Amino acid sequence: MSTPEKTASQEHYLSSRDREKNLLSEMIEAMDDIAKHQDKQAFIKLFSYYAPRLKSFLMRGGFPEQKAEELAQETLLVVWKRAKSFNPKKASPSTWIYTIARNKKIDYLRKHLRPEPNPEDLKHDDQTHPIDALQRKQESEEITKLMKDLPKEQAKLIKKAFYEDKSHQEIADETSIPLGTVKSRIRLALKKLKTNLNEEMMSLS
Amino acid sequence: MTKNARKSPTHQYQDILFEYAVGTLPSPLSLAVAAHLPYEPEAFQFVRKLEAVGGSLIDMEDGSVNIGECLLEQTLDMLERELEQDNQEVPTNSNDTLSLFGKGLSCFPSVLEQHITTLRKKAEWVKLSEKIEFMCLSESPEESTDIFMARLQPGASIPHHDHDFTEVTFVLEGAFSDENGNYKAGSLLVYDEENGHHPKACPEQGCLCLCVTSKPVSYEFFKDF
Repeated sequence: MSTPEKTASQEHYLSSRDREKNLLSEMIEAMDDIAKHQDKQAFIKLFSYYAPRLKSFLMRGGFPEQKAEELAQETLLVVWKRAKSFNPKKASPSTWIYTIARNKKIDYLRKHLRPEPNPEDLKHDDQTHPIDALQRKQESEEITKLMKDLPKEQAKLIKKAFYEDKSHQEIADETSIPLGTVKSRIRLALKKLKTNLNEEMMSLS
Repeated sequence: MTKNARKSPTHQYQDILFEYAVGTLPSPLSLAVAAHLPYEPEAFQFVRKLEAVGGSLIDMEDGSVNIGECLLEQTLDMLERELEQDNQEVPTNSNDTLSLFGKGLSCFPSVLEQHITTLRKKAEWVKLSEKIEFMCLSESPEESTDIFMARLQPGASIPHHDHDFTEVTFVLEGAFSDENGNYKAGSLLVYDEENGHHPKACPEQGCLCLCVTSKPVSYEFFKDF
């Protein structure tokens, strides 16, 4: 049985949840078109979604506007070049793009290439449970919710670590929170994230 | 939750994985983590999940931020140039890598070969004592080092020591043990100012380790080994 096509007027009534789900499928499709056909229209779609977000993400880490744009651009160029190695069953486009942006940031700040494990060296089966777009959407919703549910001070430290190039020690110095407290707050937050994420993964399999 | 962790991660271990995933871990320490992850599925998944958190933070960003007017156009031009010079793969020269145990290494993660340039030059083993050797892999190893290999003959032991820095040890071959457990090839150990240790090489196989430190360590540190 086929589901009826949504008309333009129905489109208007889509819940934001559906729009987000569509967005995710669109991004996955765009990645696929780039990988298979070096499709520039698909790249433009990806660019318009990610360029502002990456810029904004990088600026939170203290990058000046122009540098943030430059790094966002470099990130998206890598996305274009390595589109073939993206596997939607293992990660969402946002997660994959996050790792590229993170590595670009490190390469720039440290003048060092970021070491990444070589997949060919893997001594264990990659246990990432392959999931489809709908489940991927549930997963990222779940993560977003978990982050929102964290106690404020824990969430703040976790985000700070993601946005800024600051070690635990530097965060402690800057916030005048003792190093031990910084570490234990992050550990507590991780424990919560980890337990919940594990349950989340279980429920998916 | 079941807690039969065959290697329950210490606080320090988890801290290191977190800093690796968010990208704040100093370079040499990241190298040891990248070498270790292929051996430890749990750690591998943990890092993946943290990266998914990073992905969701990007989704949560404001999509209406202004982007320079010409940025898209400029980027498309760059893609055009990419397409023109496509498929120019850079050849990797991996055959001049040092063979450390003579018979070659059974588990030498390629990430180490890629990133430790001194491995491709002539680095030398220095005897610290009868059963302990050391090879500095830092780029400018005049007075101190932040990355080195240690080779312990079977049964060799290193005196109990503390650090005022973080030391990450990746076991390449053989095994060793200390107060906290036994570590086989592929394991990653994290020691910092909170925990000292007294490592002993496995009596049958000895052990070969890669050690990286959060700050350069003076050679004085090794004089009692």
